[in-house]
Amino acid sequence: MNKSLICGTFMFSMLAATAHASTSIAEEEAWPELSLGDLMKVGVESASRKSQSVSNTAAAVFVISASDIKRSGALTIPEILHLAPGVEVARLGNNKFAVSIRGFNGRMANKLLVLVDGRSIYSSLYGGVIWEAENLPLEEINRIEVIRGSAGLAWGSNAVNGVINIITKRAQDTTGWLVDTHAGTETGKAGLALRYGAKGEDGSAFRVTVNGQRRDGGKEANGKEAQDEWNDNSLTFRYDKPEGLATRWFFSGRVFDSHSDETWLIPTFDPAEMYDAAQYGATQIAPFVSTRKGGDLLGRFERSTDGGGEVRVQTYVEHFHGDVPGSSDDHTTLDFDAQHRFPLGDAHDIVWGGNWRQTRHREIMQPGGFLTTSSPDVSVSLSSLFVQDEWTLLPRTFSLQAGVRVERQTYGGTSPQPSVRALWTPSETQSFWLAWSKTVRSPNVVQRTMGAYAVAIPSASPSDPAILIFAAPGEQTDFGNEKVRTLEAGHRAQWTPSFFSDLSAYISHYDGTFGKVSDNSDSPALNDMIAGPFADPTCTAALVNFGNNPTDRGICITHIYGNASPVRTRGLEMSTEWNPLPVWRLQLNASRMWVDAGANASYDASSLLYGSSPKYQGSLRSSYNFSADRQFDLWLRRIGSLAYADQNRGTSLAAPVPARTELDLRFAEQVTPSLELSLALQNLLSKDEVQFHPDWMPSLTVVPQRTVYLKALWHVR
Amino acid sequence: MKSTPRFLLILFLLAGFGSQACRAELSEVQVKSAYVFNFIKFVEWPADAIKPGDRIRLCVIGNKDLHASLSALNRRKVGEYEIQIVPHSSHDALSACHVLFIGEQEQRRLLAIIKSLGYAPVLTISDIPGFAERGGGIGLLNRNNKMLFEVNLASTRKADLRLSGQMLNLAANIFGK
Repeated sequence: MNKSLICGTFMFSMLAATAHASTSIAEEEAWPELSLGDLMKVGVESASRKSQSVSNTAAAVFVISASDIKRSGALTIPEILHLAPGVEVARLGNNKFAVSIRGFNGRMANKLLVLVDGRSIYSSLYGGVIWEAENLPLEEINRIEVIRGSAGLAWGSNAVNGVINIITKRAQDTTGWLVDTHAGTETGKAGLALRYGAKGEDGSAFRVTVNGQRRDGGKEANGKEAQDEWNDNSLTFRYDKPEGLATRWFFSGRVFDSHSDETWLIPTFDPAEMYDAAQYGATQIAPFVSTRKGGDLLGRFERSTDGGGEVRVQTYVEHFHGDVPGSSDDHTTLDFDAQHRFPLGDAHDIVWGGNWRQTRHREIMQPGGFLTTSSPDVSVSLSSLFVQDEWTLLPRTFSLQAGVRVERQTYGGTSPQPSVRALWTPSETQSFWLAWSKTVRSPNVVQRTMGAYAVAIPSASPSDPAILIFAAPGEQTDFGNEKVRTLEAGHRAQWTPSFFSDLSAYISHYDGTFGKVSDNSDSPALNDMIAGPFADPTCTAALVNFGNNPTDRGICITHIYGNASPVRTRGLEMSTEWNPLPVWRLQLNASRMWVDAGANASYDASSLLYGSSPKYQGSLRSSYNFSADRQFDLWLRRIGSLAYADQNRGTSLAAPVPARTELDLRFAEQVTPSLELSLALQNLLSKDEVQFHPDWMPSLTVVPQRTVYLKALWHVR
Repeated sequence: MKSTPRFLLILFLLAGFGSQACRAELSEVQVKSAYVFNFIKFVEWPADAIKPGDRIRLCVIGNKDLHASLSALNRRKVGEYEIQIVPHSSHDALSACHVLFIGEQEQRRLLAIIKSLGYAPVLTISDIPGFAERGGGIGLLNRNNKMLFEVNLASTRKADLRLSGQMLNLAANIFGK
């Protein structure tokens, strides 16, 4: 390779660019002289984000590339997702995450749909994603597409505030041996991924990866070493087979085993302690290891037809078993998906298709816990049909997209999810879009069928009754779909070859978000109950289950859950990318959100509605290449405070979490063509602060600490 | 924590201007342009498609930046031919190009374009994922920030083009052998 020419030229151009912020003439003259062999070795600096798929979409889309993933230094998918604007990511320790888009964050944030190669990893038991079970080897990810906003037409229910598509590399692109290993502190304690891939004569290819990750525990709020280690092992494979020029098959699968330590604060109901205020109903610290294991198998067939059409058929089967105290998550899912796309005349592009999915849950309850269920074995099924048309009214300038998906879910019933979008591209470097859509969030098994003894207030003396609060399952009120209407608009522009900006604004109306609709604590019968034994038969029965005497005096307050308050969110999101030098890329993202939770709604104490999402957040990333072989990355994030307060009632639900600043650094050196060494420092500014309060499961608050790790990536094709 | 702002400032300075070391990176458009230019050197068109003294008609659709970048090569000589960058390639006249670069903006119409070319002696090049696999001539792919290429010999044979073995040796994938 004619290195001296390139280096000399670049030295000059860099100086020139520093002085004039313009491309040098010398550089432009140099590139045609490069030979094919040279070209294959030259690093490519992506000048802009603007690829057709992104800039011509009437939605807020952000793509995280494989290079972004590697350069971020992040070791888990939730941390990687923080690269996209508007994605809220908080750590509840070293093995628990809360990830959401446009509000409603929580460990089981249920208004965001996440897919891996089209396979939904949204839990129909809890809602949301069990991130502890999702440890894809990061080197296998081709890209992650983050679509903010309502996307029920394209992806179905639960894609209320966004969709995250994790897309893995084709086996043809992962041939040879790869060893990805790191060692360090905290979440970077140790990791080893070993991959082998090969290609056949007929163009087919396969790869197999074994991956093991070990992570240390964080710290409890009192400074004690927390029990939240996280270890997991997995085996993944993918086989790709092209057949002729227009047909492609692929099969992929994995088996995994994940262990994450957790400590719960479980209320005790020991009858022996009944009248000891300090003991009865007090929380007991219960450390345990939750295990999650399972596997999945996915097959996809794609065919391009002569008339410019495309057919895609996909199916997957998944089995999952997870154990936590009192309940388990044992389910098997089967899914079929088919779609057909074809042009109709010159101006119409039609896509239609359907999806069927069934998840069978087995024995979700273990008897005697503090949870109750009406049906331990349930089956949740989902079926839908959709059709959409993209109508090009003015070629390359103006197009309209309209369509509807009609979906039926076991609990939510049948619901139409329509969407209308317009895209105006006045020039090749600029586009405006506007969209209106309606999407539903379907009830999950827990919200529908599970009850919980959430709080027990001990009495001070034997003459006072004990107070027990029971959260009733949503089926008592026939809790159904949450309906969300969203109006969005956006603008994207490639202002100069080195500066790109993407702005979006949205307003969403949520009808019937899950929450408490009433309780019996205000009823006149309450006074009578104080005098007598537990009056509520359900509650009494449950207490007997705990070994309580049914004739004991006490008050049982039942909270009834269902479709509660309307909520409105509004927000702005921005992402920009600037390449001040060809070797230097800066990305600035920022978002701002306002939540108006139903002023006219009945009382709702759900912290998921009130202040579990920051009002603002922003990040600045700098990716700099000292040379083709040496990279330096800096990632600074600022996340606004979490209020944890009910603004309507003025009540506080938990201690507010102050705003925080996070800083990650990464240095990488390509030592030989096949070996890259890197040093990553994460969470550098950490003052061991709480990022998020445990919700959904009664975990102990754990604070994440700084992580330092050294990584080696060895790849021989 | 008081020293944080200064610490950050230093980091930024380091990141931005700390090093003037040599690098080997080009913009994506430049690398693609250089590839297109290079491919021409390794391809032989059938005798009736180009005669001595003719110009090689190079058309670019669906990628304005690449078109602009390649325009710098207008009238440049490759072997015995001069390159002519065709300014506005209407879709009807694509089979009159010797080299056709199909940018990502034409992704939708890709199969229709390939079909319309039929047996015309046109070298098709594209950065659309899976291009060569789906019947295109030469596909460019970005793999870990390195640009590689793959070739579909069935397609180039159909266009009656001869590709040099030297070039095929460097291809990341060869389809339609």
